[in-house]
Amino acid sequence: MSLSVRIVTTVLPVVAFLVSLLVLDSFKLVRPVRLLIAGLAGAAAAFASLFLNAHLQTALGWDLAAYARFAAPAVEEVLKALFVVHLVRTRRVAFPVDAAILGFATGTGFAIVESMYFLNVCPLSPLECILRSFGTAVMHGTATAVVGIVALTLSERFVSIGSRVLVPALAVGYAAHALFNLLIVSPVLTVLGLVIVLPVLFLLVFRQSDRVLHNWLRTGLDSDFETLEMIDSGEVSNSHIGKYLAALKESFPPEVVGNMLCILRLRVELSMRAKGVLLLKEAGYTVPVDPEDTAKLEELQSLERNVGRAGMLAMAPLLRWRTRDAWEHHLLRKR
Amino acid sequence: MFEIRRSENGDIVMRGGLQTAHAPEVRKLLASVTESCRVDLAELEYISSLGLGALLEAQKRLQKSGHGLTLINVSNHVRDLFQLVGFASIFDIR
Repeated sequence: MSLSVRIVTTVLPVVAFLVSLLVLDSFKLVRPVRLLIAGLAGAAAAFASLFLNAHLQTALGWDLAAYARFAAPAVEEVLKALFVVHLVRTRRVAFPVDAAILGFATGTGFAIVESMYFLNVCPLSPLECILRSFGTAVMHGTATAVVGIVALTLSERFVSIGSRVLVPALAVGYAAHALFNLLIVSPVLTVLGLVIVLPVLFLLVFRQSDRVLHNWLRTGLDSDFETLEMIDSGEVSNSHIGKYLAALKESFPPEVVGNMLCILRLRVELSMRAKGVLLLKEAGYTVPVDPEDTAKLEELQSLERNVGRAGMLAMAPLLRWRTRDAWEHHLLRKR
Repeated sequence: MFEIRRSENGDIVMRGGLQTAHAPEVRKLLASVTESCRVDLAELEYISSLGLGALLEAQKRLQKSGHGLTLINVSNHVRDLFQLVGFASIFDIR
């Protein structure tokens, strides 16, 4: 069996699984181009891992088995996580299912490069090599998907991304990877285990993500509309928003405080529009980028520049809970 | 309280507040609609995101066969909501 046939046999089921995840995602929030970038980022991480692992093993002086079990998973999980963490940090993903799909795509890209290398040097029978390589490919995808899900979930709890988010996320990825390396006794049993566990895991993620998204849509749309009505009706001065902005008048000129209220209104309006886009997507509509949304986003940027860094920091308590605003703006800019 | 029914002239009439819990009832009635139909929202006080989703779903299905829902007697409150979320161009609102 030629090397290319072995690689295709190994990788094709993993890629097919990735495509099926995309198809099953009812909101279709992951754009194909981003999926491709995730795969390329994974491939780049694999090349970097091959280089780093070779040097680190020599530097540490560990034997290959010990290095592969304990050190290599740490290096590989950190490198694979870079892209997914970047997406979470820049709020380009907002729901567990998208973090899972992009994480799995990164892991798949990594696995494609790794299987090219592994299948070339594998000392086992062709079938065993393929099964082992397939198992590893699934593990890479799953581990990075889990890192993405944990990072996203914790980033929402702690609002920002720091060690409280990164350490647990990477620890879970590392544990999954190291456990796989420790338990890989029989390739057949490993593949069987993964084939059973993986769909169940992703089914749970899809369900949870759907619940989170619908809950957010339901509560978010209602509260956004209430906030907007309150601002437009002129009753804002009696609310906690109005009282907070009134307090800011002591530190900022009135026109800046006025712009702060405009920022809040515009953010709420854009948020409602983004939720509308999601509902349209769920119903099967194709939603092109609306120039009106783009104009509002530009206006928002201009207002935020006008208010300045200090003004935006002063507004932080009002915007702190709006953790998905940045993601919504990405959604409105590029579908 | 929420109520959805077919009137004698075939219009769908919604009344009260369409909360999340009512979405299955709305979906069920809308699923029985196979041709263009008017939806009277004169007495609709509130509509949740799941209610909006149910209307969208029906509209998408009907549009595939060249039909559609026409929303009539829409209050300013609901009209504003449709405009803000970008549904005004999807439905015929009168």
